[in-house]
Amino acid sequence: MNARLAPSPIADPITFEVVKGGLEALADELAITIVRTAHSQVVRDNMDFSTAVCDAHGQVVAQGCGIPLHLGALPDALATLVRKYAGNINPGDVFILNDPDEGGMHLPDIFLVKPVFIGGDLIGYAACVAHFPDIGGRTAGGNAVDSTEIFQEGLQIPLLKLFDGGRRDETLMAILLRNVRIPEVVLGDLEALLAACHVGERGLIQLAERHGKETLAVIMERLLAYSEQRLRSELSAMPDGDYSFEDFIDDDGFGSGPIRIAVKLTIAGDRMVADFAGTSGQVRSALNATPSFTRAAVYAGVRCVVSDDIPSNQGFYRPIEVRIPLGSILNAERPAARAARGLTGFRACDAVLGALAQVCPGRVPAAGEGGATMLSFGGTYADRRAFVFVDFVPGGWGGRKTADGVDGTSPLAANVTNIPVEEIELDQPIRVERYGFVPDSGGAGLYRGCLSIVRELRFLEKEGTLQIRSDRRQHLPYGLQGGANGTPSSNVFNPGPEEQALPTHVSRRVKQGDVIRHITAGGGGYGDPLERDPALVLDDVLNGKQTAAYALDQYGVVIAPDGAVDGLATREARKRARAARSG
Amino acid sequence: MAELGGSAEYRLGVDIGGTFTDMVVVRDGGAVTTLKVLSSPPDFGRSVVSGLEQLLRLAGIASGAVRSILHGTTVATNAILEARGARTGLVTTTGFRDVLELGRMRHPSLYDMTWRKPLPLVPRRLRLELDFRIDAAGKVTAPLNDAELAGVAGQLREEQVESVAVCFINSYANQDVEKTIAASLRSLLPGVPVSASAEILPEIKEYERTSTTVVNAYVHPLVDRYIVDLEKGLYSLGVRGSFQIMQSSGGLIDAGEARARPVQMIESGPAAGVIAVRALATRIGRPNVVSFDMGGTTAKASLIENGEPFEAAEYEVGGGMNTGHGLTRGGGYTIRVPSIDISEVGAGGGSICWIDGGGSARVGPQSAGASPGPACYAHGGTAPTLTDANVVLGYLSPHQIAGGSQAIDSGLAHAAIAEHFAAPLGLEPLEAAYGAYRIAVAAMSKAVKAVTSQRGRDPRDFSLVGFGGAGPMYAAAMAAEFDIDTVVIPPRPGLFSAIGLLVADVQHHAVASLSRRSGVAAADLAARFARLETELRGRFERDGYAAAAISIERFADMRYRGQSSELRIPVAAGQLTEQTVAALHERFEDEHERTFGHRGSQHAPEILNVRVRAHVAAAGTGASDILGYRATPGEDAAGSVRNAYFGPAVGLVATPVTSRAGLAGKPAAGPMIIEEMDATTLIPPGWTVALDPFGDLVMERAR
Repeated sequence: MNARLAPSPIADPITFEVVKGGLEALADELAITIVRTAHSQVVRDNMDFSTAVCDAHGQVVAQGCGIPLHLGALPDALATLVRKYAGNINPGDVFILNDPDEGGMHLPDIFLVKPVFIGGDLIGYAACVAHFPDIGGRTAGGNAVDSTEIFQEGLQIPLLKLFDGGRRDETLMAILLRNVRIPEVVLGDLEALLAACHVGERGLIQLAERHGKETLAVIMERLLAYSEQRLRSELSAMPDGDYSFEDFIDDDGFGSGPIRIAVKLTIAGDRMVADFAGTSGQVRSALNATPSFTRAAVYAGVRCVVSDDIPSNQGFYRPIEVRIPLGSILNAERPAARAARGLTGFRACDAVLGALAQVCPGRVPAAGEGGATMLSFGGTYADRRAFVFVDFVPGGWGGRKTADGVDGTSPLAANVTNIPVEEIELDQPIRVERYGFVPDSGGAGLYRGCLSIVRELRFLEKEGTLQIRSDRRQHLPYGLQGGANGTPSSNVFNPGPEEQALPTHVSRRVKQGDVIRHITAGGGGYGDPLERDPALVLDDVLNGKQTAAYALDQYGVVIAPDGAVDGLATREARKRARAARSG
Repeated sequence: MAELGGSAEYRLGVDIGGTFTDMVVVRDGGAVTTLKVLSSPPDFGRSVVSGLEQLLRLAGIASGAVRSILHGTTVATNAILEARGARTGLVTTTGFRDVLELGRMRHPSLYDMTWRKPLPLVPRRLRLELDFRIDAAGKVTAPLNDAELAGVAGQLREEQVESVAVCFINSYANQDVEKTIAASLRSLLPGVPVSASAEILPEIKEYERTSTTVVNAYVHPLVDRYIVDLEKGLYSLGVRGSFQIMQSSGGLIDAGEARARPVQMIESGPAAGVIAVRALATRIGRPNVVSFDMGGTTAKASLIENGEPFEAAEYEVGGGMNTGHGLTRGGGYTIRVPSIDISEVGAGGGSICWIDGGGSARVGPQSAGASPGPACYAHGGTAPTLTDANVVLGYLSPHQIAGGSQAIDSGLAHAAIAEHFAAPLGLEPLEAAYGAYRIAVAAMSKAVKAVTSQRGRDPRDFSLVGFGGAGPMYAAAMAAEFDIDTVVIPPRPGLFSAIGLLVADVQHHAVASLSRRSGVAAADLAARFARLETELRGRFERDGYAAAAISIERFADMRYRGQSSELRIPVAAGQLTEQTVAALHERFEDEHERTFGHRGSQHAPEILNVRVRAHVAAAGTGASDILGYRATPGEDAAGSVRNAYFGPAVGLVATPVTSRAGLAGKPAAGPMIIEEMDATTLIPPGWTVALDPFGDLVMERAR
């Protein structure tokens, strides 16, 4: 309880709580608007977008329920805006951005930011970012791993005014819509973001009118200070010291071999330093990340081990310093390609969590499946209309101190949904052949990692292209506290007698009837598998999540022919397994 | 005492909640008798039968004179929350048995690493697959093998399942084939109920359809038993009237129909409250109202526009608070059935006031519940609750509430607030209690926002109706939060949901998804609607309703091509032509602009589903009699005065305390407190209050 703010005459604790709730509800309201009005499947069904409300300095004071890995990026975009347009930010303006070197992430992520005024005074900003289904460039969907410079990845939009004093820049709109494959869907999503900005503007003005401009400004600043102090008090309670961890991406798709993500966390009093020295240099392919994205991975990791009621705002970031070597894969220099940086962000998050597992053991789960995997098909119908289908395949979580990893949920850092099978089959030239769990997968443990998930898609148009971004085939999701590592992912083309194994990163042509079977990695286990409650093992066997042979092999649990655990045989089997271990 | 009339006929509303069972009996012509008894979980029927016996005695009614029993119940919801449903099997398409467990993959809170996904209602071992496939156009691409079906039935029999759900991929596009398979399963598994998705929810999206069908199957045997037992109990009392149950949609169905589709009655109780508000709104000539229902643990908001409530397409059972926006999905069991759109937050009279790790003042969502209850109940609770804050503020009686059945120890209320809430904040107890009141209002305003501004509705265009045990205490403050100028508190606000049962229609619903979404010919649409209408008329006629009494409403679920959520647009009565379809598109675009602030500039609207709602107006006495108010003889009209606190600007004010009867004919200015048997109404300074001709308290804000 040492995280206390000094009393303020203008913002008593009650008004503070009331306005804080109002700002949080407003950020959610932006998100609701996007879900309800967006057009592309990736935005509306995968919910790959985020929203924020900012103060007059462009600092994020409240974030809508969204993708954790986006949330760290909004401050960079706002910082660029405030710097680049100082003195030229006016009522009726709406700013647009996707350029990773101006605070963006990768080109498909388009930001819109609207400054909010009352009587000529800037009182804050409404901001949102969403992953658009196409941004032009050499491949449909704009996610290709095998691009080698940003110029191949699509249209770059530096921070510009899409609306200037209420007037839309028709030149910019025309160029944007001319450069994307599915202009009507892109326009629909852009309108959804604009609608969210309007909702944000209306809400901020209402808050300011109700409580007063000055009170609102004071409370916004106090909100930042509040999150900062709460995090500082949590950091103070952690043992000081250096904690290092490294994790790997298998390959950049061009044969780079393992790509190292190294992090050293230093806890010193009420602050933390995350230093990525030792991380591999930027790669030839599009796996390169921006510093904003890397910072977001650090923040997301830290959020997972502290109280979850600390408000999500920029004050949370103040006690954390992130050092990222320039020219590394986590802070690539122009003109590096960056479309597939999502994977690198996931791995950076895994590395941070691996280090945090040493700082606060028990609070961090073993590594999850490591994705989500991205699969996309593109091409043209017989009538030359273009189609683009982007699918994220999330897996699940690693084992935890008190529970198995969740089977079938989004990674911690990217809370996305799957796309309904029936919607895919109705809207796209694709048939889904299989979607479900893979038995005998995931890392064994006192609490096991999540099972792998299989998604099998058949292509029905004459011809098109297939892109896959996946990982975790050589470098598996790590186990913790004696739990086994997870199990590898795989990509199989046309499963059957003629089947062909594909690498983790794929970019190829496909023709009618071709099938891609993607299997996600299984999560890491937590704790010693030989200590696992045999009743839990039996439950997995009865549910077909494991075979009896696997139960014996991994857990030393013997299932009798009558379908019950053979207690005596299990004790013997476990004794033998322990002996073999120490021998 | 109601008169013992030989020919008089009575209608009975019974609303079961987790803590209390509310009963209202009304005679033709309007005499109303009420009773509140403790519920008797898990055997909820017991409290109904024993309470009814008591009520009939109290009102002096012969059991044979009860013509109809109208029932709202949480029995289906509780079965899910407490995992007491049937051992259920699922039959589905090869390759997709995990659809139910995978769900939509989102987790409800971003950084909670201890989250556990709700266990699937059908465990994986009981989810069986058939090599049978329908494509998106409804064509069967892999035909059914009868031997395989027999094998699956054998497996289910061996596993001793008590209920079966059937849902194949794309079956929304070919319902007949799934119905045929379900029929075969029924004959292969005699005595086991089979719920087919084509019969429960023939709508696109496999997870939502499967989950809804599974919930139906899971609660089916239990609800079936419950209804049969209740019918027996009523029979044993000599009650021979018809028996109808409230659905989540706000319409009643005959008990027999409820037994076949129990998934439709999940939100039975809350829906009844909104229906009561709808009747009230019509009667008092205010067709646009916000319904605000606050009880012991939650506050619920809902919107009535032009006399009609809004429908929600989907919600989660057991998923925590339902905020209606779908951002925090994954916490519960998804069902898609027509239901009144009600948004809910965890704030009620029992909500605990506390200080978080950062020293910030918070209220709820934890509740002291019925046990130990608020500190001032002196049942052993020490945590301060909103009720305690209201005692400290002088809003609630420092001696007793609920007509004297609950004693209040104001010393305990003061101690709890002072020690656990005011001191850590560095505030005086009175200031802190007032802060708790304000924070609760701010928290509950999220529920009102969800049904107004988040749907493009300006709350200032609405009046607010407050009810539930705590609603009348907060209604004026909630209205002020949204610049709403008029607040109405109906008679018997604490029993208002039970009253809703007495004014509801009998309703049936049907839906069909179109497999071609754009350029659908008017003739095709008309044929779709006609088929649904015939189906619904059949259901009514089976239950003995006259064809002439049935009215039909048609709706289309529409969106711009590419969007994922739909708006429900009414389709005008009469013949469908290309012109009326064009007008429908126009109406959709207007509604889209209203709700989201813009029209889609390049997208054609498309129709996803067509829906029909058929209803028969409630028989029995007019709503005005049921909703009306007559002072009970002996109701205390004499007033008293006590100090109540209204914030630093107004301070502590000597506030008159009276009853509804004490107000008769005398409009008054706030501050004022009106105490009744089932609720306490607060009229803050700046508001006036008067009784309207029906006995409603009408508060107006001074401008």
